[in-house]
Amino acid sequence: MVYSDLGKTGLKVSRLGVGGNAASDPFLLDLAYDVGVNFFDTARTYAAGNTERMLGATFKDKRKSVVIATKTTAKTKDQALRDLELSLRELGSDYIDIWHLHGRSVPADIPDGLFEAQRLAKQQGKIRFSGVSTHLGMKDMIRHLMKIRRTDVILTAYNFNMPPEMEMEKTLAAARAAGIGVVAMRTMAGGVSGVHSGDGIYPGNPEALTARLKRPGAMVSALKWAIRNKFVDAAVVGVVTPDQLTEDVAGVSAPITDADCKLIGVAERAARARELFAL
Amino acid sequence: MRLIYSLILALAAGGLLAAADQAPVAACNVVPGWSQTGPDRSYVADNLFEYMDGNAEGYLTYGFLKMQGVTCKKGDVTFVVDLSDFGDADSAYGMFTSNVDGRQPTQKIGMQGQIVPRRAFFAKGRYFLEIAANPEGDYTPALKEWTAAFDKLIPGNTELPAALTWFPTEQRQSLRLVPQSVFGIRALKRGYAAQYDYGKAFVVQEATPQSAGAVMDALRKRFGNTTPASVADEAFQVTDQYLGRLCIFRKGQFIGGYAISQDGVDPIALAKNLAGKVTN
Repeated sequence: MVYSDLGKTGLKVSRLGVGGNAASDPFLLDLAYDVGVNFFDTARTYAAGNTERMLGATFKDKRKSVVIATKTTAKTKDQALRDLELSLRELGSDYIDIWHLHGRSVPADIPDGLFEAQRLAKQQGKIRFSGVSTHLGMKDMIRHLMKIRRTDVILTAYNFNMPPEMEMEKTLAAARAAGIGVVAMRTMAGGVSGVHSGDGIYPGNPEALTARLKRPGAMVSALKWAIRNKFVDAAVVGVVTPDQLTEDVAGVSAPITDADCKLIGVAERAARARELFAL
Repeated sequence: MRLIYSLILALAAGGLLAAADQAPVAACNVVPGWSQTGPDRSYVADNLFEYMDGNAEGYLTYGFLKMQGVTCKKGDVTFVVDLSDFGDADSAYGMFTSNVDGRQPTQKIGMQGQIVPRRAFFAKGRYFLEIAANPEGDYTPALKEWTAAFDKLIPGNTELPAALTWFPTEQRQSLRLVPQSVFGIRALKRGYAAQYDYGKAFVVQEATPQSAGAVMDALRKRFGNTTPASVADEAFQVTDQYLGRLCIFRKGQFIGGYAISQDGVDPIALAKNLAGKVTN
């Protein structure tokens, strides 16, 4: 497993993080840990708290050797702090490594009270680092976060299907330069079963994208495409089988190739892909 | 006269069910005293993500088709009511199992439901209804009233999936429908899995005994050193580094089994007991 410094947090995280709603069985989390994954991502809302609970139960005896991120969709400071207490309880831990404000698309999604909640939580030792997750309007959102300097880590949608005009590479480079830890999600553009249309993340024809993702090996190539970017510290993926995990672990440890780019239909960008490859 | 009476009833129900062949609609006036605030919400699989971010995955894996919702207000209290259509009862119940808090009691609402101080949800037929209350507080009485009202208005099956009765309840922590890769095994596409203090159990239904047999062959190949066991139509046992001691059987078109992580518990005996309960 390859590890990264997560921005300026001092956290050393595996470049492959495991999380999301997909993990269906605690043994997959154990397996991920055994193959070197130390970075796990969940959210208060995932399966009504059941994924936090599963994560907490799985790592109760090795809490200090894993980095756990969770999120709140709260809209006010008080709601956020209540969510935090619930997350701590469900995770069975007295601290959270990274506490994200969940799914924020525009600056107005984060009133001052939410940053204040993060500041308070940090002061009380309940969280180590503050984060924001964003799926839409990433460019403006990330630039806003850089400007106000209250965020340690961003969790952002980032994948091969994003057109150049979204300026993701430039935005992530700027975030990294500002010392913000950058974690990618949605690296597989929603996956075969979850390609969405019309939300700005997966532009173009959903059927064509699904067909591309169905090509054998395309999912791993998509992961490699995201992680090749030296400004991405880690990528978080959902895992439902040991085989997937094995493939993903191998994927984050290997350079992207022309064959990978061709598989996911970004051959014309292969040269740039290699340029950004950091390992 | 009868038609007029029916029409009045439908109107009184806030148009929630205009006719038996129409889909139910979440509305605020199913419970007197509440009024709608903000517009109706309507989502399909393609844009559910816009409403609930990464949590949408949890819906999509259970075959989510569409959602319709409203936000209802009474005084300072708001109830966010969302009614989702999962296409079939099995999937709607699957969504329920993914949301249920195993430490809290469940209630007989529709097929099954759960009410906690600020949240209520239940599955009935192909539908999954959920209500989230704000602000902080205990809304149990109001949530009971709301779920009872919707239980009357949402059509569909109220019987639990038969498979649920097959799994022993003793030392059981959870029982849920796993939408893909049961036990993390790709060949076991979708089925019920129960977590016990000593390990876990599953039952997967294949289309035919022949296709179930093919899955058994694939499993033997996947695990390698398997030993035949005498359970149902065919069975094997094997030890896996992560799953523990396994006994997997086939009974007709069903595949089931146990993975045991605790010493002194016999997976074959448990598998025999489970196989005895599995019926078409």
